Amino acid sequence: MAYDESFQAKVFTVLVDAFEDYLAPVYDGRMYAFVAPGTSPYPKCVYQSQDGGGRENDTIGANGWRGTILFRTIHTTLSGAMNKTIELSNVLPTLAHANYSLSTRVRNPFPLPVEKINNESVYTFGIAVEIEIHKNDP
Amino acid sequence: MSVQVKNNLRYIHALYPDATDAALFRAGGFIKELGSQLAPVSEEDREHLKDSGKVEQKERGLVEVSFGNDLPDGRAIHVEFGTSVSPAQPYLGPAMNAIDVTLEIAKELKRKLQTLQVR
Repeated sequence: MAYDESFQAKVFTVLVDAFEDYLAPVYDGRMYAFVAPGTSPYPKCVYQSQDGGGRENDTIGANGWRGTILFRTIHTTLSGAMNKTIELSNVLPTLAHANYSLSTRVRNPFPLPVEKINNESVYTFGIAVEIEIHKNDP
Repeated sequence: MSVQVKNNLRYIHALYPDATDAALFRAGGFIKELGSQLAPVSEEDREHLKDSGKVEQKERGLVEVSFGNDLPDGRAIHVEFGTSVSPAQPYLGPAMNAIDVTLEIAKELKRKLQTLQVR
C-alpha cells in the first residue's frame, strides 16, 4: 500500500467527518469542535484533542494515528449530561469512515466544574476516548 | 489542577530511593517547565497561569506537578479542559505526555552506578 505523506494533516478532517456522521445524532447535530456557539441550545457536545494532537502510529508502509479526544457533554442538569455521555459511549464503537478504519477505547470519565451562566447552572461531564485511525487498502 | 509522577519500579526504588526520587523530581520540573511554556497568557490578568506551577514531593516515589496555585479563579482546570463558552488549551496533559520519566530514572541510575564504580 502506498504511504500517504499527507495522512497526518488529514487526521482531524477524518475525525470531524466520522463524528458528524455517527456521534452528532446523539445531540441532534449539536456537536462542535473546540467550542460551541453561545446561542446553541442544550444538550450539546464539544470535543477537542486532549494530548496535544496525538501521535503518528504508523506500521510498516502504512499510515496510522493515535490520540486522545475529550468529549464534553454540556447540559442543564448533571444527570442529563451523564446520561448523554452514556449514549455517546454506546455509539462510539460504531464510528467508521469510508477510507479509514477507526477504533475507540474509552479511557476515563471527566466530571468538570459547574458553571453559572445567566444565573443558571450548566453541568459538564466528559469522557476521554483514545482513538486509532489506520488508512484502508485502496 | 495537578498530575502525579510516580515510580512503579518498586525494586529499583527500594535499592536506590534517593536516586529515583531525584529523577522523579527532575522529571516533574521538566513537566512544570513545559506546562508553563504551553499555558496561554492573558493580557487582562496580572497573575498568570504559566507562573503558577509547583513541583512537590508528596511522599517517597511520588511527585506532584500542580498549576493554579495562588490564582484567584479556576482557570487552571478551565484552560486545560475548556468551559461551555471557551475552548480548551491543554497545557499540563501534553507536557506530562512529552516528558519521558523512565528515561530520567535511567539517567539518574546510570549516574549512581558510575559513582559506585569509581569507589
